[in-house]
Amino acid sequence: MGKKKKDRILLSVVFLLPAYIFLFFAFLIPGIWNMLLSFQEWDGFNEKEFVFLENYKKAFSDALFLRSLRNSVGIAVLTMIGATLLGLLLAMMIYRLGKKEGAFYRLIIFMPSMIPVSIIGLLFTFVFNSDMGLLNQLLRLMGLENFATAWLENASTVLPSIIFVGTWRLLGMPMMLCFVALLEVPSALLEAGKIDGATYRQQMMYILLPLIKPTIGLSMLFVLLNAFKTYDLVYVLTKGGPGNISMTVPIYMQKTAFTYSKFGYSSTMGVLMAAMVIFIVWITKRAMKGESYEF
Amino acid sequence: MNSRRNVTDWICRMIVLCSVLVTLYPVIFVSLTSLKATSEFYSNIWGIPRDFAWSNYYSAWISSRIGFYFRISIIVVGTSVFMILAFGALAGYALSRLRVPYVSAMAAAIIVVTQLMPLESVIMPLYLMMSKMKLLNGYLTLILPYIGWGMPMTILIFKNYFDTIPRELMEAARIDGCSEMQCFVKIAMPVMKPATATNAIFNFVGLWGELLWASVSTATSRFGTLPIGIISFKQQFSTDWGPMSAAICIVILPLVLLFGFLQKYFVQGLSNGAVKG
Repeated sequence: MGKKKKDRILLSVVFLLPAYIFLFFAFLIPGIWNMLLSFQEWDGFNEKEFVFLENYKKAFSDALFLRSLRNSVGIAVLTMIGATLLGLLLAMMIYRLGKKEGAFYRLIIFMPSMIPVSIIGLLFTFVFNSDMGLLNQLLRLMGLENFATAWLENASTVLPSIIFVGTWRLLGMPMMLCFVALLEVPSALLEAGKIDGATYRQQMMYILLPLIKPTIGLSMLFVLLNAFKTYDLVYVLTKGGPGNISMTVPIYMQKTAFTYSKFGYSSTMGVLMAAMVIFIVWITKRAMKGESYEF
Repeated sequence: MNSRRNVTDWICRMIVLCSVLVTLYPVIFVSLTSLKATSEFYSNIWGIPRDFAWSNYYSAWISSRIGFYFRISIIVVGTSVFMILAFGALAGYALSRLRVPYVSAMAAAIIVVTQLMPLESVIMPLYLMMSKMKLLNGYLTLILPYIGWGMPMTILIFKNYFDTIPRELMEAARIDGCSEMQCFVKIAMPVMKPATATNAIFNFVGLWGELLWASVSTATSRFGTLPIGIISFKQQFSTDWGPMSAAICIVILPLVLLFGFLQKYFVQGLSNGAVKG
């Protein structure tokens, strides 16, 4: 027995080691370094200077940083709500249409989740382009010329446009997860509801939805973590423009570090961003907490 | 009653079909545009191309060097995904089945932490780190961080999947004299296809389009992956819609193929609870 246990420990260390070397290399060491750097001022060449909380004070009085943070959080949260809600609705409709027909719709609606974000950004520059763009062409075709606008250059439409693209991109996953979860609910439960005279809507509201609540929570987290990664999308669509209206934290950080060589300040923004992400994930987790069912 | 049911069915179907259309349309549009000469594009935006301008693909692949970037992307992403799957499966198995006290708890905690860390907060120090290690001039620049970034999610999905293998099966094998290593090879590996497919797809898709690290770490060189190539293409010839669309199609095609092949296992992987919080 003793030897077996030793074997087990040895094997588990051997199995874990390669993965964790990479985790340390790509996450933990740079993460800690980032934390230290956030208390310093450094231009990349000269001696680092320890300034303690100076960078943090600066961040909270930097209007552009605050706007970037608000944009990042706003885009992520609204995309999460939009994508989860639409994904869930679609899953419920596809569920109603049956397995065979549903499989086809499911695959197509999932497809955008497979396309790289930068490419999606390019696709939508076609859609939003002011003179050749699909959206404006369509509006003109329907005689709604007044609504046609330069979607990504107009200060009032740029953020909604970005959120729309994010929702379009991410709703496939909640749809897939919720659909799979719906399939797993035993039909006996629904039959029981039907015998008691529940309509389809009642079955959904009072039987299916509560049962798949953990899956909905999971979908929300999945979308949220992905929607926070705004760099690619915003960079390709607007680069933060027009006039910094759609600036998000990653783009501002990258500019601060690699264009203006303020490495310390950039790290500070990274730390604040990480704290924000963790905070919002925690809230979402709390809100969606509930008992899970086994069937 | 029955006819009302039918009507609701049709309403559902119409809504679903509409979303299918909204989903497909940009992609169809780009595929059609990729076969139109630029002059035709302006006169015939919506229709099917009158004569197929395959030359768009040629010009994107050769003149705009999309081919060059494509080769780099294949090598970088292929290697990274392979390593991620190998290391992720091993670690997932260790966390799920070998459960050594303290070690496992620590390892699990690290995964939770790393999963929540936004990449933005590690990019810059990583850049400094790799420039100190003289690793900023080639494939490893991209491959090493990519492997690391794929790890948390992959380990978690593998772990959840291994958790679903019945305990009795493993016990029986152990009683029959299987060593831990044999248990892994003979029992765990054959059933992990769905989890592997799920992970392969997630990681491939994530890395194939990765832009942030690629643009930061290759900013000073001519080296780069497909997204870099496409972005620089867009900046140089933004009105060349034909070749531009062809380039987009070239990027999407491998993903469609991969998903086509692995789709069956992918859905199975999701429904077997590969993805759980």
